[in-house]
Amino acid sequence: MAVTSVRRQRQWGVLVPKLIGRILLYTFLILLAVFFLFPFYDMFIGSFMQDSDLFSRHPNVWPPNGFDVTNYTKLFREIGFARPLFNSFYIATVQTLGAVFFCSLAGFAFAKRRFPGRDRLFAIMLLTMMLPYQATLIPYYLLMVKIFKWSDTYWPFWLPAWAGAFGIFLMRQFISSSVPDELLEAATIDGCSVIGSFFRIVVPVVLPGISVLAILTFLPAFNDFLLPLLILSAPSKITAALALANFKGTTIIAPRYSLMFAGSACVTAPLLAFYFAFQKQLISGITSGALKGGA
Amino acid sequence: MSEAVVARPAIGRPRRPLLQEILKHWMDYLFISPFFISFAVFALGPLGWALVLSFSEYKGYGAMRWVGLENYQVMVKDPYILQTLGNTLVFTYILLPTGILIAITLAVILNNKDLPGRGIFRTIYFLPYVTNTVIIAIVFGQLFDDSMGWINAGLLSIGLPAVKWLRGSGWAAKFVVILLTHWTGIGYNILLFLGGLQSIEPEIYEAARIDGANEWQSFWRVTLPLLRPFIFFLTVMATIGLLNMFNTPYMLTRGGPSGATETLMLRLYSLGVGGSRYGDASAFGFLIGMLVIAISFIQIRLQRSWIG
Repeated sequence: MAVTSVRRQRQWGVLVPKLIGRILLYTFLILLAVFFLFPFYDMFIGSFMQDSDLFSRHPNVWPPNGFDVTNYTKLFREIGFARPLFNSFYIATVQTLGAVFFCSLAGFAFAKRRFPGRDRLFAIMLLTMMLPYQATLIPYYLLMVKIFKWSDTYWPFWLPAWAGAFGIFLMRQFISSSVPDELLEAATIDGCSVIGSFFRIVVPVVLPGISVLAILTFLPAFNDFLLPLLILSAPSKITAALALANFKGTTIIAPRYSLMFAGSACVTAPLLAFYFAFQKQLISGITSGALKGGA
Repeated sequence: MSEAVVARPAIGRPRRPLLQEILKHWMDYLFISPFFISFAVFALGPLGWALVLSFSEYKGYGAMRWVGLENYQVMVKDPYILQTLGNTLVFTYILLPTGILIAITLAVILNNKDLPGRGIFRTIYFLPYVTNTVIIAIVFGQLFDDSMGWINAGLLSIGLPAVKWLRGSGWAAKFVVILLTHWTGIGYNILLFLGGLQSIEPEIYEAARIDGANEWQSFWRVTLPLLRPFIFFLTVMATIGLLNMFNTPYMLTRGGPSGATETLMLRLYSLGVGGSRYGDASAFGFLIGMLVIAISFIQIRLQRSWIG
């Protein structure tokens, strides 16, 4: 009897602090989750409110006029927001397709082919990542707008991004770690050409790596702001982010917050869907990028 | 990475003339050529032109006029340069250490295998990363509105005075910019450190436990030293990113109130694109670029000695 009660006391002595610790920990984690989620909630309910309800003395936890879709109809009927939304997708998709193609090819050459100067060229490519991008921003802008006359076109988004150093580096790492040399040698012996072995052996094996590169290209391309701000101005060419920024108005035009909120919801919804669909690849892309860069 | 730099000795292969060897591998060069071509056209070209521009006066039309070091002199004397530099450094060196600290703490918590729901928390904390900074700034602008935002309503309801967040004091606006940047970026840092924690072999913790280390000690003696490469990687990448900060202050405050959140990139943008002072802007761009390189270099040196 005595022995068990002592044991029970000891158990309680361990369990109670542990339980309190757990409760505190979960409270902390949940509060933090609220901090991260609240702006999304605010955006969602705000998209159904007019400016006067968005900015009232007592913030509205719930749209006062119910789920009134006036903002959305105004956004698509009057402003034609579908166009910038489509443009954002179009720019990001073409940029991603090009990056996947050119970076995989170059990554394959750097990982599996042997040619004079290969390692030196790879080292030079890595060094270029250190180049200060600030110094080239203004001349890049001038080059695109004044010399190539590419303002309101999408070439400035695509051409420099298709064969980026980071993407090639990532694909080289994926290919050299997941494609066995024996497989490529066997293919060569069987009479498979270089291009053939790239498409028939390398691509199927590194498909997970390709999806990582695709996501890491698509997201920043879709969300980019500075370059569209420099290059695009025609209403039919601007991106969704730029269109939203334009709703903020100028010193003479009043900001249109209700439209900004509805537009924000329209841009965020597909991004969240994208996130939940590709969460695994996105996370593995970030951690593998870090592992390869860090270790 | 190191094996890439060291050239492989050609074992048992007869040496052929170099040119013949290069011609034989024309296809490999074709595969890697897009990078080198686009780098030459879209990075080296503008960089060289920027160098020339930085010594010239150019308004975007007409001829360029050589002015020597005048642009650099103008930019060094620019009354805004110290303020924007100060702001950028304040943002960088508040965000960087706090970001690493918060992220390591949360990663250690979320790495705990007997914590039900840790996957959900990870998903939620990472959610803001995929969203658009323009949009986040719009929403934060409403939450922190000077007179009718959520935050001020909350402060008033608990008897505190309202704060003019975005158009009042400079530090309040800086605080909102910092909070917003953490809101977007912390999930990325957590993921990175989670990856780092998962790369640590459980046997090492086992060995530490057998040697009598408690959890706190094994964090300081095992976890933190093994996370060093990840901290190093994050510091290098985040420093460059933060010194280039543009979207958040541009959307939230346009650099205000009275320049309190104006970053180097914001100044570069308003000089070059807003003001069409291309010569000055190019000189300024070079100064920023050299600063970023210098800071990165010093940090890498310091951290190398720390990693050992």
